Amino acid sequence: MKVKDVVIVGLMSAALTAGKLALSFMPNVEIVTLFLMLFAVTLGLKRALLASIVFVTTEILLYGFSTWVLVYYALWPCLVVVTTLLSRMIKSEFGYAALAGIFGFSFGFFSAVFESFFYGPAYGIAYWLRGITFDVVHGASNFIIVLMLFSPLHNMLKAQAARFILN
Amino acid sequence: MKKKILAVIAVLLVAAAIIAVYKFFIIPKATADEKTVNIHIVIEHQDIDKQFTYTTKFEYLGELIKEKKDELGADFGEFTGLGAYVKAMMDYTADESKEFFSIKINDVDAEYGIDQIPLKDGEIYSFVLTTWN
Repeated sequence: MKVKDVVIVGLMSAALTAGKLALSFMPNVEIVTLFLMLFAVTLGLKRALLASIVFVTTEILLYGFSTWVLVYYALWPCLVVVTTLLSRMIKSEFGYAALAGIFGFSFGFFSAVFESFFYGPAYGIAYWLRGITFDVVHGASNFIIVLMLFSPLHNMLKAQAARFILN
Repeated sequence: MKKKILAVIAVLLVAAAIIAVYKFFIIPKATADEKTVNIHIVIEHQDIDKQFTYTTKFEYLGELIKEKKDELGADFGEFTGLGAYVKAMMDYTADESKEFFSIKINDVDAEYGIDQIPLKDGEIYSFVLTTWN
């Protein structure tokens, strides 16, 4: 791995953490999904995957270790991989917005599945049902954020990447 | 841009509809009628197996046990985003590293926290000290 990549992954991770903290006052409204999708499409799978792992590790340093850490280590890199795989098929920002919306809406469900491994199915079901309204907010806000911001940020990031990173 | 605005409006409407269905049809409903309910507490390794019967107009289990917390020796914690949970009963505080108070309604595992469980006449709400899987 080149020094340039180490620096870029560090900057990507910092952007993810800063973006998460900046919107932390609004429950389940976040721009981590948008950033990771942009990174995956613009800067490549490897860099985006590493940034997602560094981001989750930083979350542990900020909030401590718990079962959600495993969910994060699974779901955020999974978003990067799925975005990369689907990017060849997605032709407009509507496709990315739909993917972000589905990801946000199902986040609570997958978290509940992980939680049920530790605390049993009853806890998992309760966790999921209790959080459905948050999942709806997460899915809807993801859809809107990605629909509105993906294209302009993608164009900007692509131009900067061509100038400073990918040459 | 017009297509995007229409999509945003559509998503907001769908989200509002899902939240409305959840609030009005999925969350268990409570009534303010008078009802007689039982609170059953089991802490096996302390030889505690007690049942309390209350007649109340409270709507939710959480309201009742918070009101009766001195008699029940209850204490509560808060799960961020999930609401209140019971961390002590009969003055015994669960060691959160290995145990918790499992809530059962008529011997069936509850699917909601204490603040979402509606009180119904004749039901038995059990708090059973349980070790994590």
